[in-house]
Amino acid sequence: MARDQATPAYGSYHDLIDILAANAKHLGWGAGDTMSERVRRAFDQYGFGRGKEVEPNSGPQLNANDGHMQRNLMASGKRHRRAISGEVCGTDEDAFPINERVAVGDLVSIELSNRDSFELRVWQTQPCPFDDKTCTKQFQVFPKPADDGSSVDTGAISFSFPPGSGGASPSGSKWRSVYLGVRRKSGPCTQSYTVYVEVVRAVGNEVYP
Amino acid sequence: MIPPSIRLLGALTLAVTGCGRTVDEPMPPRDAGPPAQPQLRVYAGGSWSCSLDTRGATACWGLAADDLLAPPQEAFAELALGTVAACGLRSDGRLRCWPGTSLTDPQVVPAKRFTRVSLRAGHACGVLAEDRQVLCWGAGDFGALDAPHGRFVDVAAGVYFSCALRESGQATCWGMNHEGQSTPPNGTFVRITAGDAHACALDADGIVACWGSKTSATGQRATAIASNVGTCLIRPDETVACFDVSPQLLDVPKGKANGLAMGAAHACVVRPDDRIECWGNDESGQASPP
Repeated sequence: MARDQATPAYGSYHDLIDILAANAKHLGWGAGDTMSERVRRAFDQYGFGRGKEVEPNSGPQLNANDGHMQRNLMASGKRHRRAISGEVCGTDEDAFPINERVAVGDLVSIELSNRDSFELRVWQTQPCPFDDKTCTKQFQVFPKPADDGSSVDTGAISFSFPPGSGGASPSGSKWRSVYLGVRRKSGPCTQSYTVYVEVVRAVGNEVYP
Repeated sequence: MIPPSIRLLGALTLAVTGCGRTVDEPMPPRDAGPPAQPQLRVYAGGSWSCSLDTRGATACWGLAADDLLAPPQEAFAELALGTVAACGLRSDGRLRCWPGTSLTDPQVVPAKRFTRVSLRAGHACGVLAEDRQVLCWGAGDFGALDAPHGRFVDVAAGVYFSCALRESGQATCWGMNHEGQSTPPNGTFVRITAGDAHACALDADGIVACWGSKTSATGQRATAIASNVGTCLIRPDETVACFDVSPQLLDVPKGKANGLAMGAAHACVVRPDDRIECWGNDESGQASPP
């Protein structure tokens, strides 16, 4: 695992994160998953996170770190958030699981340092490769995809997690796992972005299992 | 003294001192020349907006969240809107922030008196009334909280960086600098704004200077500026123009304005008849004032 040299203060935590996250396996944030909840709380309390997305990009495939997406787990808790920097090129897309699960009405805000050159997407439940419009239509919650599943960057950076069922809306369990995607829309491959996510709880959503 | 006609009602920046005064100082007599102060002021954050009337009453619209759009029932002298958080500055200089986030928690917000405050990207900075130092709180990524010492008159928070104006009018910035956004030019300025990766300042002659990723507004004449994804300004003839923005935002509605605010993908103005008009992205109703 490549280390984040830019943030030595947190460097010693990365192995711990890997162990915790690997134990939590896919970090799908299954309801009642004790380990997932412990990881979530740890990220909230201590602001764990890599600081930098370092893996090489791999063409049209969603960059899931060769099946180890948990390494990109991003702290977005009430106590601590953790910004992550990265570079993404070509048709690739960096994907980050968020440590906080989200419910209807919660506000999700994303601050991206280089909006001219990069665009962002948010999915519930699972991330979607950018060229899989069926997946996008089913799971992308922001920006709201077109009927054909295409995604258009609207420039907005915050949204209220949508109500309803089916399509791009939460259904079933109240809490949804959330993933952030960042991809390049213009500029040279050497450009970098920095992003963080903040979740503001709606009234009644402050506590969950 | 900053000319009364130069107002900064920009996105994200709470400007208590519309004429360079502190909240404890009376407003000086106004000259006959400048246009009348609007009865309404407008502010914008990421995907929401608020208005503030002369009684200090706040009304907000946009991003659907009950607690975000329900500001405290207090009279405020000014507002500062972030992406999903806001602070109101009371007439005594104390802050009241909402909703409950890591940035607005009463345990986190300094219990001090401020003359200005600005918030963005998980951090906030304010100018302290007592000694004019800048005090920042929230997330310290990239040194965004490392305000320099000195006496300041204005502050503006951007994405992982902030800028402030010293009493001398010199601009200084700190935090992320990958686009040069924390490297301001020399000059003597009276107002400052910060966007995603750029900042702009207005000098005493009403000339705009911008640095960082978005500099197209540099050299424009303005009486007010607002920065976020790009920069919008009010020209001396009270018309509005925007620079470095999407085609949707570039399509500025015609007419005169005496107040201006800019969100992540929308902007709002106050018309001379105290009507608020917004344009740009309206997915969350942020461009549809009540």
